[in-house]
Amino acid sequence: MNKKFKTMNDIIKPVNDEEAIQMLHQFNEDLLPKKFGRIGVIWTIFLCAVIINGLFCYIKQLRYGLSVTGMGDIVSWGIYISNFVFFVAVSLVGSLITAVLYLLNVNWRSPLTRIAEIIALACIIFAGLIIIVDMGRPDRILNMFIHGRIQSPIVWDVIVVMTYMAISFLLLYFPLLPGIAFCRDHIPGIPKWQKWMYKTLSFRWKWKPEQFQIVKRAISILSVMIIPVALSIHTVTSWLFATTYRPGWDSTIFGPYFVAGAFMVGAAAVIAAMYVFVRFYPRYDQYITDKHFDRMGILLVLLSLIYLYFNVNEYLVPGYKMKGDDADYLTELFIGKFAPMFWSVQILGMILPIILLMFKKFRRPFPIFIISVFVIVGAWFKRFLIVIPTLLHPFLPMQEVPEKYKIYVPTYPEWSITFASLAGALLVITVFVRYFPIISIWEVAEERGVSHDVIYKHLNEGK
Amino acid sequence: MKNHLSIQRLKVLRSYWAVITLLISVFVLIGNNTIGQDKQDNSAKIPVSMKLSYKASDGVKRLKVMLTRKENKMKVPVENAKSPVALYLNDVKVADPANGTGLIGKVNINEDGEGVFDIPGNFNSLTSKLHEFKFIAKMESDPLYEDASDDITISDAKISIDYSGKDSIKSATATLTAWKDSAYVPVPDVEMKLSIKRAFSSFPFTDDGSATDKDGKISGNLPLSIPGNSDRTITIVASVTDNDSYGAIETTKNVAWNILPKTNEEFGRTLWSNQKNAPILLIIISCSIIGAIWGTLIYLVFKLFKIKKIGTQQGKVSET
Repeated sequence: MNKKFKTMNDIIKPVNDEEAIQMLHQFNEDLLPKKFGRIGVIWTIFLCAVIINGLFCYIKQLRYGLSVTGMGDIVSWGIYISNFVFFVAVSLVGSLITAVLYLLNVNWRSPLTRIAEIIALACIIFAGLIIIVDMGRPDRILNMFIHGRIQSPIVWDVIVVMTYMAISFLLLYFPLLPGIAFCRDHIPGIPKWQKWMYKTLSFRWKWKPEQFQIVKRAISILSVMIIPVALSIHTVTSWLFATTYRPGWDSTIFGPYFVAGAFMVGAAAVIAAMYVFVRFYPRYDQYITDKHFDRMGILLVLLSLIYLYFNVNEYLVPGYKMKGDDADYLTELFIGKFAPMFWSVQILGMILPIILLMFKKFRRPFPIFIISVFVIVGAWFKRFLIVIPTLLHPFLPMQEVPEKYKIYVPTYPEWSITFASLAGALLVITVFVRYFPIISIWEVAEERGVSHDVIYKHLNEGK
Repeated sequence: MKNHLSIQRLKVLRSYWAVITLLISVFVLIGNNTIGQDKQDNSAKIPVSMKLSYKASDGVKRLKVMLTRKENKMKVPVENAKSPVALYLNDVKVADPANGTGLIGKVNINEDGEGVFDIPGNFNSLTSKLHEFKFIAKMESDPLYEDASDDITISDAKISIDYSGKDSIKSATATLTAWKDSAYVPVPDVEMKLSIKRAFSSFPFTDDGSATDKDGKISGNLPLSIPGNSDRTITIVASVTDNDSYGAIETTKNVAWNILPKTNEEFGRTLWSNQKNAPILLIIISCSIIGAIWGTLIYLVFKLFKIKKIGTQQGKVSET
């Protein structure tokens, strides 16, 4: 196989079945999961170490309660909730890349869908887990189901997180079935358990048209269904704040404001992941090309501009009025002790990326990767700024309370558990990449004109 | 050649990671400056003031230590005292099992600057011959705070409650008596309050500043419309708050009461009602949406098994 696919425009379509099978062989060789090299192993060990440290701290939290955290009577939501909102935000990318672009018939999305979906699934799993961590007593999650009131946004959030998790899982799994079958039939020399895993998970996939029909129909149904659920998940998360009468949260645009921010950070997360995969897998640059980075860059600018618009609305209007308690809160953000973080987030995490990404040379893989890292880190701190400063400005004055109630300093266990959750999400993605194709072989093949019949022949040949 | 490329890639990677680490460090530093807002200077020992108080509630005796310090001319609770506060009766010495004097126990100061010590049950029998108690509290050798102490002298006193609920007027009378010479005698002119215990506080039914009469009594009529407890009782509380001679004394009495608390059902189906009284429309809409979505998901899971079935049937054909 000597054909190269440098950019999306250079795609060469097979002229006959023989060439198509040859292409398919090349796809298999390039895209089937491989054993990790040294860096992959070190990365996995590092993630495991962070998780183990977090687990030890969580055991400590279970033993001594939430008193091991920096939270108290006044700041009762800390970095756990910031992290929850961050995870929910990133998870929205699944619906953006897989569903919105699918329904808009954007064909360059094929190599990116699975990256987006696994990020979405990993993040939503850990969003659910971090909420349980924040509860202090994990057994009390049952009370949500036994005593939960359907009138409460917290109950809506639990329902919508579980629903989104289920949809994300199915949206990852259905298109993965042919990929698992590829792994089952074409990865030589794998251990028995791995063979068994592929065999079980492939649901006897035989490349039959009826099977494809079901998969494609399922993808269509899920793509339509995930959009309202994805919008709901982040809207409901925003309502956890907006339905509470507090300075900074008492806003009618919190729903779209959160959704816009989520799409922005989600797109940045996909770009960062794309770069890592292209960098560490030698032939992935044949599938995730510079054009993909360019298009994703344009998408990121568009999403960032929308988010910027909402930010202007969210801060400028109350900033113009400066009424009552809002004034103290906003002063703290604009020129007070939160000002360095606030302006860093706005400038480094949003305005600068918008300006830079307007130039084509910054939409090349490495610069856009760095910009995406800025956006992601900025997005995490943005969630911190949404949660904590508001809680530090309650309507009832903080009188005769211990000094430590007036500030919020996350403790070591809190940071450890938060980092462990981030590491956990990354580990899910890492393990997935190790055992499953992160770029959908059959979708890439289909995009490049390899028919299902040829794939079927190829399968039989593999036997 | 391959090795050379790998080394080159590693070098490039190393420089990338340096850039990423730098970026994250910028955020973390900014974050740290902001998150770790103000810190205290702990170089010298800080002077503190201690206040010891006493409360007898239905025979359970309790000592409470409150530690405060001055900050910006305001009193703020001491939140991180490491040394416990030792509590003594009459003398600062080791515990004397013969009469209960000396060290009673030690109490740690919590994050609100408070330490609460429930005097053990055997204290009453040990000190049965005593009718005046001098309690002493001492905190010594704390790494952050200067030594502090306080003492309080309490005379033996008790309150009894009589309730009359037969007529249309329901009233309660509380009598305060204190030990004098060889018996409990009524105590006049001591501020006392009669109230009804509620969930988070108590509802008074005597006037503010009311004091006991010459017979040591205070009376009040209970409001008839007030809802009682769910077990058809009401709890009457008679209390003396922070008296110089007797400390705080509180006695409660449960009496029969026929007015039950209002249940949530009475509010009807509203957004602020309980689980069972959610608005019907909300239940129908939310259940329909949840049912439709999860129904579709279950349908798709069945389709997975259909894929398996197709594979099983036709797989056999293709393998033959």
